[in-house]
Amino acid sequence: MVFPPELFQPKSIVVLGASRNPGKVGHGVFTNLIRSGFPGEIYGVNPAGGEVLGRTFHRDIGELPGGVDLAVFVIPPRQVIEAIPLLAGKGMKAAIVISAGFKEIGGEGADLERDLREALAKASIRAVGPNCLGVINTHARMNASFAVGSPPPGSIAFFSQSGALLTGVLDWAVSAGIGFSKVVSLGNKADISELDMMLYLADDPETRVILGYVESIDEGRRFLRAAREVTAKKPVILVKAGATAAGARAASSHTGSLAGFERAYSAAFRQGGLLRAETVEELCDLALGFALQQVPEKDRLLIVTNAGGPAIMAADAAERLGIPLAEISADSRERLRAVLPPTASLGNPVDVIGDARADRYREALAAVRDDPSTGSVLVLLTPQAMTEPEETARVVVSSLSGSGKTVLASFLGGESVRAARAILGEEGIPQYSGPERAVRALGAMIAYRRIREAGLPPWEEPARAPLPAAAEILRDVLSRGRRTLGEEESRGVLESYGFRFPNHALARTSEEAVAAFEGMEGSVAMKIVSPGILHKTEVGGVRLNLRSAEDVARAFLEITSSVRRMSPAACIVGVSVQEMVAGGRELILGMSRDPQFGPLLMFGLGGIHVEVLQDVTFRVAPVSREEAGEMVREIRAYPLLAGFRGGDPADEEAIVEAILSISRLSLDFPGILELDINPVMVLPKGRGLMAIDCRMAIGEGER
Amino acid sequence: MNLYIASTSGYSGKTLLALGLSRIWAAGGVSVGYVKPLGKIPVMEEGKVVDGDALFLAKEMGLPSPREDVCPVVITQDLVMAAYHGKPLRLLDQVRGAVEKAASRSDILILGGAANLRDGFFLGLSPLDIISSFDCRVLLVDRFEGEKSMDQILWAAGILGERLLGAVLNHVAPSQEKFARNVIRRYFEARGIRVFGVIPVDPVMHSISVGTLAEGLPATVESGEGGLDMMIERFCVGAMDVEGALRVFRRIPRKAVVTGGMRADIQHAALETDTRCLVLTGGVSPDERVRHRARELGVPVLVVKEDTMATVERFEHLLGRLRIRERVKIDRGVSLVGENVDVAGVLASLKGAQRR
Repeated sequence: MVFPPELFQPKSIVVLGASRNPGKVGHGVFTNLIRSGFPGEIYGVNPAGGEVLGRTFHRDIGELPGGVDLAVFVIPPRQVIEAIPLLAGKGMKAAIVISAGFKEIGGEGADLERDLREALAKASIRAVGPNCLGVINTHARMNASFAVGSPPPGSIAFFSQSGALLTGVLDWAVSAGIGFSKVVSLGNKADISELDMMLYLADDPETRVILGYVESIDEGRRFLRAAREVTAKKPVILVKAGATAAGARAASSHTGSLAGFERAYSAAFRQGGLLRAETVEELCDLALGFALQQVPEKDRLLIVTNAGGPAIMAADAAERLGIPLAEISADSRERLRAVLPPTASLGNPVDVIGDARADRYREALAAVRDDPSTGSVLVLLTPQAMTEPEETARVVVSSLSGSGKTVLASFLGGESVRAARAILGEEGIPQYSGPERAVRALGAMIAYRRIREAGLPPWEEPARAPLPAAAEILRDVLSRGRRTLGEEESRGVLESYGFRFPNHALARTSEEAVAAFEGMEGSVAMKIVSPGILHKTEVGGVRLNLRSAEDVARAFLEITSSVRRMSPAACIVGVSVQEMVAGGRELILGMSRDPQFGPLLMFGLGGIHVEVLQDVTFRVAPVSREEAGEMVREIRAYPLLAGFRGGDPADEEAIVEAILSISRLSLDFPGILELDINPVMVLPKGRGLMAIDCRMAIGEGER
Repeated sequence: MNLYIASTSGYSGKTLLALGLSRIWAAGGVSVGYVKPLGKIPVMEEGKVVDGDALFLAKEMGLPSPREDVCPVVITQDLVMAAYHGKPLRLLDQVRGAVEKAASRSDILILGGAANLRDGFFLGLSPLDIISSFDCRVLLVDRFEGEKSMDQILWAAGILGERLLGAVLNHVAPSQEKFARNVIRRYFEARGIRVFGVIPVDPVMHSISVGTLAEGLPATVESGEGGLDMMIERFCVGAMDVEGALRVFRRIPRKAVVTGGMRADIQHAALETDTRCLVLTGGVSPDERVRHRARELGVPVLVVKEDTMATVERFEHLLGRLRIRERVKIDRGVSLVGENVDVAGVLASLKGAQRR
């Protein structure tokens, strides 16, 4: 799916709809191309003729004197579609469709977008857009967009599904002097998507870090697979808008597609090794760190400051993100003691105190610069009477260059630190207006290093035949036109995947219930069996811990009477008598199929933990054994499983096996849409799991 | 004298009539007994299955007899399964014992009928068998639904023949009331069927207490336990925007509002109008501000696991099958019967038939 080099490096460009009128998009694009100093041929086509910046427009495509590599469309949708074959005849390889009026307006626009896609496919043309802002390649001096101003060349690539947001980021970049390699406004993604762009940028030598703003991801599973390849090469930082229900509704009406669910995105991003920024501001902060500095080789952070407050905030932020502070070695400490006043703090944060001039920073930095345990240094400065911001900025640069450490700075203040900040920026030291923002950027860099070092666990979809017993049950249910499995059927499917259920029997009378109880061990639970009843407890359909024949007979009477009274229309099949599982902990295991990412596995502790605390964790299937283990360990209640306060440790290995089984089951049977095993009891180590209740919904097979 | 109160479909007003007649007759010095031959609302009481309706009437009428005497047979899963397997049940003998005992100590024994004239056949307790075995006269009560009721009453009259004393039309819509008292009454009387009463639709009888609603939905009472006795006459669904909701809510007094647990906006709007109870769906508890406001106003908040659609269905279902349990409904029911039914006429007719 790699697209032709002409999209970013054309020799000749034509702008369809180039305009003399400064108020028109076609004018903005044309002048941006000329002003960015594009060295190749630039043609403008406008049926009314005219000229801009000394270049005369051609009246139609036929008049073009030579071939074109890339076309930029700023003409009405229908005309775009008609022009594509003509331009293909002129050698066009790639296109940028800026024109709006496609899928985003719905109805007729959606039909036009389909026609556009067909026209492109027929002519073998790859295109960005429609309904986009354009494309910029700073290194080729090509600004084929109507954005205001061009960013300087640099190593950050940015693609965005929102044009307006892209302008905002570019404006920030220009004012902060941040350089970009490529900037792409994806628009409606009729052809080229975030997935294509990510794959292309992964091998782009001018790009060190990839940024993206996405509202929806179209082919979730392919995207996830691709992300794993790309993040092995360079960091990818995404803002995913529409994380809340309200945001998702807005995104859906904005892009005209069904958004996947937030928890699926979170799981997929994590499994793909993608870094996620919550806001555009954070996206820029993270980008700055990756673009200007090396990823730290070690985790530990050293903070050097001239004031206590900001340093404490930085330390807090570090702790929250799991970044350890460096221990200052005895040697370094002695060196610090020699150069700092007696009231200075020699620990980490190193406080050179408020009256520090640039030279004290220099001496302190020199003392710790080669400290072996440190991976990164954050220099903080607050402007005080004696402070020398600019000189200190230069000192930071000279003292730490070549130290092999990741250096970040946060010079707090306004006017008095403006020049100092500029110096830092020019010298390649990322500077943040708040210490916690600097730490957050560092956190992302460390997270990325860990991802790359550890490598992502394997992600393979097993190619194997589904188990026949389960297949038989599902086929049978489907052939009866049903979409949900009864308890017996779900149990059958899960048993064939290695799940165990307690002994149970269906009793139609109280006599049968007593007989069943007498054939079982220990106490029993009794539950109404009635296909119409979803919430058994609410209609008095469940009794637990029954220990005697009398209790069982009476419970049978109570359950059936209660259900008859509360749900007169329900058909009572009988009552299920089940051995109670003693000494276990309640878990919940499940799967639901996400419209974008496919089977999404869920794990958590049952009861209050899932219902009230929502302490559950998700992964997109398939999961590896490592990931299944991670799922178990990352819930907040994990200490309860591991044997908190002398409790027996639970059989973790069995939980991991169960997660792997559900992962396999969900891939073997694309038809299973929802699966809930709730509760499932985990027994002490070595004794496995016992599933108690399960539900399953199936369909014809989505993916 | 045995009076069987019959209907052709459930929830037509048999309990209302039994309650009203017995109270009014008793006040006139007649001793009235009650037996429900087949109970279909099983409730566990002190380890035994009894019928909910019969239990209620026995308490209201102050009957001294043990509960098995008021309701000799209550349906259970075991009983039904025995019937399926063709086992001899001999339930009529059980009923006979109870009826004879109760009849011996009252002037008039009311037999609470089954939902319709077929109900109980499978268990060997056909209403017609009971009527003839115990030499009952029959009062037919019907929830009036136009031609459908005409068909049912004429059909029942044909089957019951001489044993039918007459009919009471219940739940008659205001627009139909005059028509029922004149045209319909004349129609039936021309065919030998006496109409003893026309009972209009009544908002109190058609209401449900918050507590009964919570039990029937079923719902968890999140807060406002003190308001469980409040009566709800109608319900509204809050699935629109707040402005629209407020307009609707203002027009409907004494209501319950059913809405999604997440819709705090709608919940606040509901609380600003005459709302007796909030029913929050989707298993979502109210947020703190809603909870606080509801507590201030003394409005109970119920939470159900089902979605709004299913809850509304359940609600409608409950409103179509209201039982008389709450004190206000009992009092209102007795006065409705007193005002709209020729109670003395029923008694006279029962005595006259007995003499013949």
